Amino acid sequence: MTSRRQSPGGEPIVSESSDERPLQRVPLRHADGPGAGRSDKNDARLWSRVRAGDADAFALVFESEARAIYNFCFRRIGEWAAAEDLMSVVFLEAWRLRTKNRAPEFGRAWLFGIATNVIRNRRRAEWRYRKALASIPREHAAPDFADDVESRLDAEAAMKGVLAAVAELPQRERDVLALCAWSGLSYEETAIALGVPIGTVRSRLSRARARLRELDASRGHSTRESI
Amino acid sequence: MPTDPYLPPAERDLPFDRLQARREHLLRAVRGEGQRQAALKLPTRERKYALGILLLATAVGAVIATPAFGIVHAIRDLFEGTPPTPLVQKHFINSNEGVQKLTADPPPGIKLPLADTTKIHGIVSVNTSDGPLNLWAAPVGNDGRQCWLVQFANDQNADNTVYGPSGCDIRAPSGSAINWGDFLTTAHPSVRVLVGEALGAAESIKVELSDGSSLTAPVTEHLFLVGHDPGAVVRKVTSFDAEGAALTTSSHGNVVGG
Repeated sequence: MTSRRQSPGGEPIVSESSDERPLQRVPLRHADGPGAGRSDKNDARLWSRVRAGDADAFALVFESEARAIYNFCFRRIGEWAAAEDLMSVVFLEAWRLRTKNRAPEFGRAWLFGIATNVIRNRRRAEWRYRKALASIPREHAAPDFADDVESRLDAEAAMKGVLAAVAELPQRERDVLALCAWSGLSYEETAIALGVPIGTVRSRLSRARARLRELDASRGHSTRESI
Repeated sequence: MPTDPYLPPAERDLPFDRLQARREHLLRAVRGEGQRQAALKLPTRERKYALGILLLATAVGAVIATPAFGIVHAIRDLFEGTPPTPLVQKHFINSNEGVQKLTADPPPGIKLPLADTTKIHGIVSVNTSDGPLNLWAAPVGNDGRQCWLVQFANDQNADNTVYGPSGCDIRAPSGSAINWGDFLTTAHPSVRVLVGEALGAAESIKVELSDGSSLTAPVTEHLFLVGHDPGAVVRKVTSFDAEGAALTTSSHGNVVGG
């Protein structure tokens, strides 16, 4: 059986339902700013299949969203290795809760909601899946990592600096900032991810920006509109 | 030039081999829920009769002891809410007419069910070796009762009738009971049909078969449908809520067929 869908860029993503199938390099989504429409019919069909228990569809979701979830987790905790484990936990949790996804057309937003909750309850989530995580093969000297170790450490240091800078924001505003500004979810998607009205997303983001401008001023930086 | 303290560093890719390892690990975990099926034994038909569901119209035939292999229980997506075909609509209308003929002398304490034929819709569809197997339903009144129909989508019956189990709730659903029946039809001897309702907060069911295998299926609008190998019969059905907590277990099918 072969399933086919279109990536956002229009390139076909083809997957066959075999456990042994090697992972193909597929076009992955990139954040492109709030308001960007992401929910299309193909995604809704895919998420409907996931909700019905279709593991092949879930594999496609993983291939499509793993990068985004990996980076989202990193941007919430500032550690690449931990983000890798949390990415697995997010997808395991998404599979466990798949029947609760009532709006398949917003499956991606729902997945980011799962990720937000996993990070918020990180210890509990990691404990739930401790056996599953323990069974993941670990590599001690992956060439890709070794070649890139310096930039990874730089990114971790930079991210920890960012997290420290926004630490003065309330949790709910950090969540909106991470989803909307850092991961490029639209206001509507962020609202679905967090289970709050769109107006609440707007007001939280607005408050977060205002607070950060105040912090900027107190720290001697110029006011930015980039957040 | 100062670095913006609120902008995260650029996104990165997980190295390809690690991404593949994560994917394979995830799929192993996902597929490890016991959804594989196998056919081992000849069928031994069981019928359990109980209150709760009244079978209205069915063309279920005699059991045929023909082992068959390779039955697939794959959920077809986007079936929920599908409008009925004329044949399906005709079945519900005919069933209502049959019920109305009985209303002169209804059993005590039982409200005879009349389906709202303007609200017939698809519930779930599964792929089988005999083609798509569809479950249709329509509400009865406003108290949560339903009428339902199982239909092999590819059937082309000369008499323009639907060959499959069907029934209606005769009491309003309450609690978290499971009512189910496991049917084999003369028209489709290679597929055994498990159909039923899982009440309460049930979101999924686990079905344990007589050959030792098990499978899971979603619960949609309190209903579930499974097409499984005729060489095995259902031993136990357990419902689960959205959190994965077991709700109810039933080892005796109580939906009548014949």
